[in-house]
Amino acid sequence: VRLVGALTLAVGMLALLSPPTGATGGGVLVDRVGDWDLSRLGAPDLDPLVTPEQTESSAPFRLPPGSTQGPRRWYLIHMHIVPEVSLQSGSGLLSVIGSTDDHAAAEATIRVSARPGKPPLLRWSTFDLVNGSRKGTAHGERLDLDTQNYLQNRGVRGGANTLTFAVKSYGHVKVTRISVVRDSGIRVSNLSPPHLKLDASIPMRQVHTGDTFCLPYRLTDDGDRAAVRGAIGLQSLSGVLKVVGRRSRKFRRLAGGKNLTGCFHVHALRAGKARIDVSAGAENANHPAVSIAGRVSAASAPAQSSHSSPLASPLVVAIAAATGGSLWFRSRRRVQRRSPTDS
Amino acid sequence: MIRAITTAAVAALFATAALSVDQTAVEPSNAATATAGNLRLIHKQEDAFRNYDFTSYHVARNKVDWPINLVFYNAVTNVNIVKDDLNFAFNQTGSTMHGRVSDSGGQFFWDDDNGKKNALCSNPIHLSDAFHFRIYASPADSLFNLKWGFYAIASSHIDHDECWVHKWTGLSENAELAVAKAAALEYGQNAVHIDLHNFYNFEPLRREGSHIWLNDGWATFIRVPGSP
Repeated sequence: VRLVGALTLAVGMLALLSPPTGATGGGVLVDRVGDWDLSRLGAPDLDPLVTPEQTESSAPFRLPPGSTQGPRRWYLIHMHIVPEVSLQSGSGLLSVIGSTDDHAAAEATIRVSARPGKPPLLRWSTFDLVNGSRKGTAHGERLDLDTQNYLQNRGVRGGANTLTFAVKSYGHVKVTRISVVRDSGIRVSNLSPPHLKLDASIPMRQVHTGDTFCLPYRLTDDGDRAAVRGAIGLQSLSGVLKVVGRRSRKFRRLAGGKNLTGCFHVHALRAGKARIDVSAGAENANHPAVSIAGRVSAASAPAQSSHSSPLASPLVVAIAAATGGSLWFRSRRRVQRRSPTDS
Repeated sequence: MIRAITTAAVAALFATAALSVDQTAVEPSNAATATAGNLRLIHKQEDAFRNYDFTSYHVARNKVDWPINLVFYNAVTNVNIVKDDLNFAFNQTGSTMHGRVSDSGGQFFWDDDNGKKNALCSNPIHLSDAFHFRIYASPADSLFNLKWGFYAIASSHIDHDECWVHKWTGLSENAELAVAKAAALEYGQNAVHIDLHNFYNFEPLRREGSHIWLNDGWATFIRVPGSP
């Protein structure tokens, strides 16, 4: 059942907004790093503001000529909302979206489950490049949700822009009001979103059947913000190699400019072409990958003991890459080409 | 978003999208399940996803169902938003298949969807062609990157005479067009970008079991507005 546009909800949203003193047509010029909340953008007192039938409100603002999303200056949206659902609400879905020039950047989704004789169950979620995915559950009629996210590239342009908060409602949700708290607005930052860079390679050397070797990796966040709730993993794409022990490593947080190092242990089962994909990612970051291909040659002596160091093995001889040919493992970075644990 | 979409407009949508298939023109095979040699990961922006959906929780060429040939982008904060928006044309549901997407925790996830279709139990008396799309996102119910915003991917196909003899399923390219036309009615013509990005899942017209493949490999992008 579709109720958008015929909402039974009474939506309290931000009202707009006469520009403050000093602002020219098209809104306030957002020209410095910092928080440009609704007050600073020229919004009056916003909370609460109930307007039946109203499902969206907009505020104009301006950006300096030539503004783009990065690489030095980054634009974010801050959406702080207080949705209130009627105790008599039916079940359904509520989606609150913050956007600039109709390019959505902030979202909060609320699933409302009606419960006879009890307050509705509210399951909310937000998703952004700052905090990743967040979810929660509340019993009652009121939520306080705060999220920020980088604007879409096309949501940043020099000149006049429009900040909009809108509500879409599906099913039988009955909303009392939704307030946009006055600390919502535009944020200008020097901090780029997290960006993961992955290095993984085997030193140029020969691998024989029976070898167990360490595959070292280094995962770096070369963005400014922390990558959260991520993982690095590897996968052998042939029966020639077998991963020994852990195939993946999770991390809760990797700060900007920091790195994560370690190694995976791999065992050469038999001779032949082999490929290993190492990949990484985080909830709020990209998914770099490295693909390592080569050939395992037959052992010319009894197999080495497990976990031996290949470089220390008499069967393994490190020589120059120029002589490697197909007998040697080579790595090539394929940024954003694969992700961990895909099978 | 309320728009006056007439019954005739919806009927025309599907009447013009269907392609008459001469079944003798495509070579039948004995394959029990469909296979796709173009199965691969698509890396776009920060994210990655498989360019086909699957009949089971197993990434394999002989477990694919249909090519991913649609992207709903900008403000798809939940796949049910798209389903609800297009409910005027696709008001039935089908069987469940599985999409493989990444955008959360650096890991891949299976997302199940039974999709939306315009008819159940299609037949030559009522309606031969049921157009069916399935839409997938991450466990957060959406994917996000700076270029596409909040988005979800989808596959599409036709279920022809499901409740009749000579049934077949496929022609994804035609189903893609039907979904695009419905989206144009809902979101406006400017919101639909036919065959915008190459997803490398070209499938020439051929028959494989009950599958009739047809896909040009280019996905249509549909912009979902952020406001009602």
